Amino acid sequence: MNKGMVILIVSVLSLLFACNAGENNETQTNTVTPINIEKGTDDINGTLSKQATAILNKKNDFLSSYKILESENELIIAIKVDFFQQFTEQKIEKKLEKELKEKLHTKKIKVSSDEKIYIEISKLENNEFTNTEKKKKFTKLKKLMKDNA
Amino acid sequence: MVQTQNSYKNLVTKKTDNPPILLNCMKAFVVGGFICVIGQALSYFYMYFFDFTEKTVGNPTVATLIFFTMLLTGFGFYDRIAQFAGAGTAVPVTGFGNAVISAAIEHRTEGYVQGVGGNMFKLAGSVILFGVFSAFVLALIKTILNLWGN
Repeated sequence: MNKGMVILIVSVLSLLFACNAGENNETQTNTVTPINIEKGTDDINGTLSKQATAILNKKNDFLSSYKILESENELIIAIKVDFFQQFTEQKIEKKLEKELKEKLHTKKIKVSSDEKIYIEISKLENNEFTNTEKKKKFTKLKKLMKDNA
Repeated sequence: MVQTQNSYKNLVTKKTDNPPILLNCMKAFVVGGFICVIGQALSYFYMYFFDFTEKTVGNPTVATLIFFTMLLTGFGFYDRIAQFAGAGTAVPVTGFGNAVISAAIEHRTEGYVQGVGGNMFKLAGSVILFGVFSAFVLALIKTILNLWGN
């Protein structure tokens, strides 16, 4: 077997393994704990974020993970879709936002598939921030979501 | 074609080694992919430490990649990488930076205005032209599909 053939086989195999690596994350969505800026992460029963979690957990078929940030009955939800759904993630984002607004009877819900929003909410999961800082971040995130290139 | 031209062409074909196309493709794939990995890492860096979203992070990422390619071209390192990887270094946006600076270096002896200024976009001009034109065609197709869909 010549050198070129070996490189081709190795490359194809590495590509195939890379494509399969992200598929085994179905259970990830069930472990999400929403952040409520006023109530913390423990006392979320009955809150808007808890209800949103119940709806989003049923979307395992295309959502790989999500984060929820709540402040004064207003929600920011950052979603990550499965690898092969990434081309339609903006459609999914709009569809989810519409569905959540209808089911939770509120207009104060923003869904984003932007990685930046996901990163920022993940940073807030570490309890190093005060409530004022978290509220500032919440306002900043709302502003960032309106930001266009 | 005249007989001598034909025979000369046949002789050249016979004497020339076949280029290792598959190996060249692999080299281009690996090096081009590595440049894209650097670009992705830069995107995450800007998103994590600065206030850039996925929509806006493309600008600083592309600017950084082009800036470092220009430096590497100026110091003569990029040419060596390009000789090894071929299209792998030309296709990503780094190829654009390289095309601008190499033309500027080549013509610097002709002066800053007519030499560097006049020839800087000699190679990169085609990239801009075809880039703008293909963007126009794609936008046209998208608009037609959207109108058709509605």
